[in-house]
Amino acid sequence: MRIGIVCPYSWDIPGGVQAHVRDLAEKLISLGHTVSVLAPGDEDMPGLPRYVVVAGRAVPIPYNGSVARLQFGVVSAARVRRWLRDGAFDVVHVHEPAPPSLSLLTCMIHDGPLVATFHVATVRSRFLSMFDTVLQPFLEKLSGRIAVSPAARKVIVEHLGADAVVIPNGVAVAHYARAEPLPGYPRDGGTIGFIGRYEEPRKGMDVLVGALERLARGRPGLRLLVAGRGEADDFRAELPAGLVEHIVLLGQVSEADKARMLRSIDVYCAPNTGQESFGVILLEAMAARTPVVASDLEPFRRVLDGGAAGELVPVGDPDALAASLAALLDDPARRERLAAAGARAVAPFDWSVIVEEVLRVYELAIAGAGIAPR
Amino acid sequence: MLPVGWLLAAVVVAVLLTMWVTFTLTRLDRLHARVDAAQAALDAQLVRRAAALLHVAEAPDSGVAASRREHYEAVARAALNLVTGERQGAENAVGRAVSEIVQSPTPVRADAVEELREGAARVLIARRFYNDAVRDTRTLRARRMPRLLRLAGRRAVPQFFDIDDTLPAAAQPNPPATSETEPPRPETAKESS
Repeated sequence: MRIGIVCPYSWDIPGGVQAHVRDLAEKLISLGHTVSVLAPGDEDMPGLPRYVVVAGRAVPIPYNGSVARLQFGVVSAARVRRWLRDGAFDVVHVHEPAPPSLSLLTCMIHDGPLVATFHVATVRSRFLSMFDTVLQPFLEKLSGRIAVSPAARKVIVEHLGADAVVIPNGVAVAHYARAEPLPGYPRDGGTIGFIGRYEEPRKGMDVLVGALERLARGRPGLRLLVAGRGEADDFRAELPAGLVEHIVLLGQVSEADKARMLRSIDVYCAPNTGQESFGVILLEAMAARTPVVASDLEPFRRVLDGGAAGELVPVGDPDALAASLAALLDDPARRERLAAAGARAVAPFDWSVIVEEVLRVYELAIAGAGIAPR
Repeated sequence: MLPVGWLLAAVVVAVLLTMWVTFTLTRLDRLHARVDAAQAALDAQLVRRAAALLHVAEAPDSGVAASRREHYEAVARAALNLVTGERQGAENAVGRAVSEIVQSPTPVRADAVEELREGAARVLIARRFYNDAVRDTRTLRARRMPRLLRLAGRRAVPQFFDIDDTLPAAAQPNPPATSETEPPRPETAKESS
């Protein structure tokens, strides 16, 4: 099959949608399909994979607490047109077709089987419904919609008045399961892991620091490994007394180092306080066979199989979090059981399974679009 | 204003109206083509699912309870031989038979379960895409101007297809608990076909 995928965010910035598009594209290519990805960016961007076609520089726009790069305009439209013509795709798959973006632009221009994936379950999709009447002529060209979670589907149903097929995010299970731990790990004394922008309140680092204060008292060797962007000095300055030596900040890490980090820790902790659509990071930890302790949020509960594949703790409660972490840190057998349960629960999310579901949608979207595949 | 000015304004209005009508006619054509294609795709998937049920019910070693075999065969044949009429009832019966086999307490052969699950998953996707196409078409047809100008012509108003196609348990990414909520449906003015 000839497949065109549109990623609305710039390739050189790490992000969930970009990672999803990359994994999907590479999995499809490995199955023998011809794939081209259109993304914002310049030709001189380093490390651009061969399957990516760039559509010019993008304008940074603050979005959902971080910065996304989006674009819209005459030049971009010309590039989209050329990409569509050169690609002669059987199906075009756009991600996050919210205005203004390369994805929406593609919806406006393309005539043919069109599939869209909606990633976030938050404000941005609601923003879409404000433009309902203006966008409807373009959105009605979509032959199929995919939502990454039941929550994302709910937003589509309620705010766009359309339905969607739920296909969860995929995880490259083998990549995590086979990663080599970081030098010096695993170590004695107990190691907890956290990944994310630790200064963002909704990531819940405050709660974890509170729990750490309680845990560190009887555990001189306890260590928290943190991977993610942030102002390290400000963060350290605000820590309660005596905690600084327990916390190691790795900064932003590469995909490979993220997997190694997940293999190095005894417990992964996701103390989030809200606004999570899916929880890919939990699946990645489970794929690395690391037990997970997470806030009892709806998406996390779903990923952790209602608590069977990982511990769920009340949201924003440092005492409960400390108790749950302590129980795992002190009991290797229990960690092993939870890791095994996690590995079983993550299997249906492996890309080799997910990609078949995506291909099924492509096939039915092509059949349902009224245009025969080439 | 001069008569020339009025004339000019009238011409501009006429041109804009023509452009809008052309645009809307294109949209309606595209939407009706999408409905037709999505319906054909849905039909094909329903046939595939019923054929899978028949295949599993007839295979002597599939592990399906012997007491239910005849019932499943009858249900599958009823859906496959359907000309018109009680489509939804027949397909619901197939759906119930499929979930019964998939959830069966006695061991059913893995490839039989897989065949039925695949069939059911495809019906679910095809039906969502079909109902989406119907909804988009009805929304546009129900708007005031297309209705008044009868831009849809003599084409029949497409009908939603309602069956329960949720499958219980393992590896089912669309759990029944959330599949009950569906998008609102626009009311199209009564038009007989």
